[in-house]
Amino acid sequence: MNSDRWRRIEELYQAAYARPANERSAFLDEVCAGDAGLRLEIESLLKQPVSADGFLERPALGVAPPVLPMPLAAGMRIGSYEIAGMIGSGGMGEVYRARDLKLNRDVALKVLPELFARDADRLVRFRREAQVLASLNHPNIGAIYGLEDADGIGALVLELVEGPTLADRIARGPIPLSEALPIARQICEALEAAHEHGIIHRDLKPANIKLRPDGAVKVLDFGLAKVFAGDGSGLDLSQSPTVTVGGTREGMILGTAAYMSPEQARGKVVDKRADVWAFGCVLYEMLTGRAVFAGETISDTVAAILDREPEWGALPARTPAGIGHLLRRCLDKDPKHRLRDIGDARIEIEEALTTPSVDAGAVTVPSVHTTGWRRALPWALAFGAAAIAVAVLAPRSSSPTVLPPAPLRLTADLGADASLVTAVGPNATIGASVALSPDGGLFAFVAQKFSNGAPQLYVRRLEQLQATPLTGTEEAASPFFSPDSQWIAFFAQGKLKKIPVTGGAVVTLCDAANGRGGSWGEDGTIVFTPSVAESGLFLWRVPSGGGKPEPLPKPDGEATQRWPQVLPGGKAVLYTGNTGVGGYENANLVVQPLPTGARKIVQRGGYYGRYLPSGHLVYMHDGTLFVAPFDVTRLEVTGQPVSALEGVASNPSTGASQFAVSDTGTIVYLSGRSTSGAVPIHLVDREGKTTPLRATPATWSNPAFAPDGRRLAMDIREGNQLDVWVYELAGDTLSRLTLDPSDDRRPEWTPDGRRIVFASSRAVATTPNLYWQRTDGTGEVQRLTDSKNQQFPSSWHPSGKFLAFTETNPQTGNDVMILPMDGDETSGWKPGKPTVFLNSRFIEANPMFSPDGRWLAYASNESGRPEVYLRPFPGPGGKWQISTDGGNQPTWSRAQDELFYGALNNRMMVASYIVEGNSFRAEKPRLWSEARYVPREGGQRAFDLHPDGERFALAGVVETQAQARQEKVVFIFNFFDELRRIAPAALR
Amino acid sequence: MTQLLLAWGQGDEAALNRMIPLVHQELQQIARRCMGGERGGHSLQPTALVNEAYLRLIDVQQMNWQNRAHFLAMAARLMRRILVDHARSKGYDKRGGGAAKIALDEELVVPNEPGRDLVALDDALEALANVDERKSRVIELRFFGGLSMEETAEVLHVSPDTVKRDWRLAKAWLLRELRGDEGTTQDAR
Repeated sequence: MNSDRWRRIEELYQAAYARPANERSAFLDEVCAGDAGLRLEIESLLKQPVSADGFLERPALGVAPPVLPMPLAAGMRIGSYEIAGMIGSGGMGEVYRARDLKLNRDVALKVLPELFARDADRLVRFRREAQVLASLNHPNIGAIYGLEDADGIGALVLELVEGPTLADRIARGPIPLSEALPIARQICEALEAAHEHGIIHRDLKPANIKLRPDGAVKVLDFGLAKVFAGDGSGLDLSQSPTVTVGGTREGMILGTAAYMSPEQARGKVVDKRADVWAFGCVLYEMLTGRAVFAGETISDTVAAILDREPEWGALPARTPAGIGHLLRRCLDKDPKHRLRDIGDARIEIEEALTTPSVDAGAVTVPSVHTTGWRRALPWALAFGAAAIAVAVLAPRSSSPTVLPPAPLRLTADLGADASLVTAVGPNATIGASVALSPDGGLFAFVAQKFSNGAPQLYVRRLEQLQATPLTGTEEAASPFFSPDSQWIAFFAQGKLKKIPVTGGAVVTLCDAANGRGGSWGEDGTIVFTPSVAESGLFLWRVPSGGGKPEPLPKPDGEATQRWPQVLPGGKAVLYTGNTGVGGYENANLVVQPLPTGARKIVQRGGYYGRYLPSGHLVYMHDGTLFVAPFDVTRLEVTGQPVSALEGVASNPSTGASQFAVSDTGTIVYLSGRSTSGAVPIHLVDREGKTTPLRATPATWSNPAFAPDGRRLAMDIREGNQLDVWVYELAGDTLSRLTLDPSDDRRPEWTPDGRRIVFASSRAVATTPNLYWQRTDGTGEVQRLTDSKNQQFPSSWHPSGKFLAFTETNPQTGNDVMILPMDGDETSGWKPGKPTVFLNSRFIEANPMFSPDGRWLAYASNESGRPEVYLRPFPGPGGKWQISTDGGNQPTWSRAQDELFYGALNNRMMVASYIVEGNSFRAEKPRLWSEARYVPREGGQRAFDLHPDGERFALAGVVETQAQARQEKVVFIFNFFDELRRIAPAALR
Repeated sequence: MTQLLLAWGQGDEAALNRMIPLVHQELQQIARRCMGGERGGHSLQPTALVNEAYLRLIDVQQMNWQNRAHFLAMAARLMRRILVDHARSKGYDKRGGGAAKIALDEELVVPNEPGRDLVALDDALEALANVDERKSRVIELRFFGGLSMEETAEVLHVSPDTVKRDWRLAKAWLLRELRGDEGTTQDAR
């Protein structure tokens, strides 16, 4: 805008503002004289409520959000640390005393500035370097326990060292030789250990040397100067990480500057000789009680460092000659002439200490170099100031940092003309499809050929490019190797099997209807989870040479145990234990001693745990592989879990993950996201046409059409909440039926559509019983059964007088039960006493009444794999087998004489039938449609048939998923090195 | 520090460069302390901000009013940067990127997402500086620096009455800008 016009606007605005509000309009009419734009401009400013509500009236700080990190208050929690109080604040954040609630010890937390913590690159770099520093383990070094990153606050977890600093001690006066030398020796030892690891302190000074009451010396803040400064070479004075209490900013900088080596002051790359210099400064100061290069200002100090010779005469007269010589060699301004190795200083000090004449040694008279420093001072001053400015303001060039060898990562093709079987797709699997032999030489995986979808096992020697399919392993899942790397065990077709790695005859070991992982122990015992059906949810064991499987000690309070791993020595098994069904982010990693013993939770909040020979526990949480040091003899985690790998394919609904680790430190994994199992609902017809019914993905299961076909009930898991919902097809509305915070699932409509029966654990957390309530929202929820066993409703008799349900019996497994209902709608319903319909030692599931009420179809694993059977109701009578090749979840058509079920490959099968008298005659089942469905978590019902008999509600496998190819996996070699770096074993 | 300020006062720009990190640090600490206290802000006197930094860093005896004005102006600018950069780092979009504009005055009474306001205000201040540099600085000194009308007048070499008038018009301009009122904003550019 033209400035004349703006001046005019301003002038008229102020003039108008000075007038009473009711006169302004007339005033503007007059002065704007037809310039409508000008008038509009001024009016638009005048109407702003400049005096109202204090716009900008309070200074920014008073109204801004807490934009800068606020001091943490006592009692606050950061991760598992509880703040006890502030210890001090330094250039880069405050330091607090805090309690580690997990390990029950006091620590120091150095909280990173928020701006720093939000710089992702910097944080990554920081984390990497902190990990290197954390590997320092020495009695004279204040330990770095780890990096805590919780609630948006990043903090270094440090060893808490009690006692005064050396600076505090020196403030009281010079330290006698007999006391100073042992301190100096311990400082040397700390530096020596760090230098051996390639770590330079860079900021050694009395303020970060602690003197513990027991005489031990601890050097703090190793390497942090560099870590905080980023990839700096010099010492960034404004960011000295050292904590100072009550010091002024300038005082702090001065304090840091005094120990800077000449090369640091010049902003040059520093090496361990900078620490040698600083050590000399500290020793000198201990003995003399004053800083060797003290100046009034930073410039004076820097000038002194660069050119002034120390005042050797200030040393106590009885300083041994060796120590005097050592000091001169440490404080040589030319790093090339300086003492090379701090270990030599330690030797010198030890000699002085063992020489009886420590107090009687010759007086040191170092030559005093006065040559020309006065002459050079003006130059030195200017140079020093410039060096400081450079150190503070300029971006720093990189400096060499010694890091252990980086792990080798590569993405690899499977080496087969096939796609890895994953948690999505037509052959969706639950467990890991990858396995590595313990010796690291073999990679086994489950994949399906592009041409033909049957999944099978492949083996590839890592030195070869191609994988070999193993015949006889069709439908394999969750493979795992024998300890000698000669066999692969796997689940397939309802059995646990094994095959030599070179191929050959497949040996069936035992039944495992729907395996949830296994592990082959060194003693030849395989521990495995056979099934998702109730009696098979827990751990069993079977000899790998064949034999009778037997259950491990009965679980207590767990709803499932899965993904086991026999620990080295075979004395315990690690597994994922969950007290609910699904929702594995909150599951526990549990150790069960073998053959018996008290179970122990070793880590909460994760799943798919694996112990690694590097001494670590790894597990999944939130799509990330976490690692924690693990003591396999004490069976406990000994340090903080940290993130090791992000983007590992995993499924929090089943607790499974797609990775495997060899004993040699190789990990293979499928990169991907944490798949929650949320899927849309589709309608699929006989032709395989798939149309979305409800497009919004959700973690639903057990769909059940209302008799009118206009509503669909189902249970939906949202986080840890599992409830029954009713979906109105026409209005696309979903409403929650059950409001209780406990798990409510498996809805079934009464034949009149008035009520829904469901299983609820509202009375006892892990023991669902049967309840019902009206669907119109009136009336109370009524409890129908009271049992100490888990119960799930399944189907109503068309009369509405019998409910078929399943019950988990501790002796006989999953049984079919009948609940009689007495009364009617007008006089009211009253539940009778449940009776047993089928209680074999096998699993019976999903009992479904035929539309005429004369038959009950159900699934059983009595043959070793799930098949659909039929019996007359109420019996007695024989049984008919309906499915021929495995089948589950029978479903009757209400429109035609057809009985449907799900085949083991997740396709719908149908059998037409004819009833003649008391005889039921079913035709051979045929494929109903090519369409496949995505199975639901925990083997819950995945589909229901619309009352018109023509359409199924299910989660369809959509084209893109069916065609999605997973041909690549990621290998990381030397993975254990990385784990040791990022999760070093606890120092004890 | 005192020497640096004196040197700067005599035109030594290098001195300014050396001062900035130190002042920045000091302001952050003051800011942090203020935040750590009562959120209401009543305990915070308008003059407390950069003046405090001044008193802590500078030997007042050696200073004249011009040095002080220099310092306060620099500190207000730094404080603006500290607060706005932080708000930006929190991901508050420029002007909310299509999000509904916020009635800033109400927001300040009951802060909701004040970080967004700070970023928006910063942008608006830039725009205002293009129209009228001094008015932009009045806002910066008073709002970010916490200076009084008199101190602001001192820094800007104008009378307190001028500051008052500038303050009023600048606020009206900013309010119009931030609220996205219809009107002649387009014409005015």
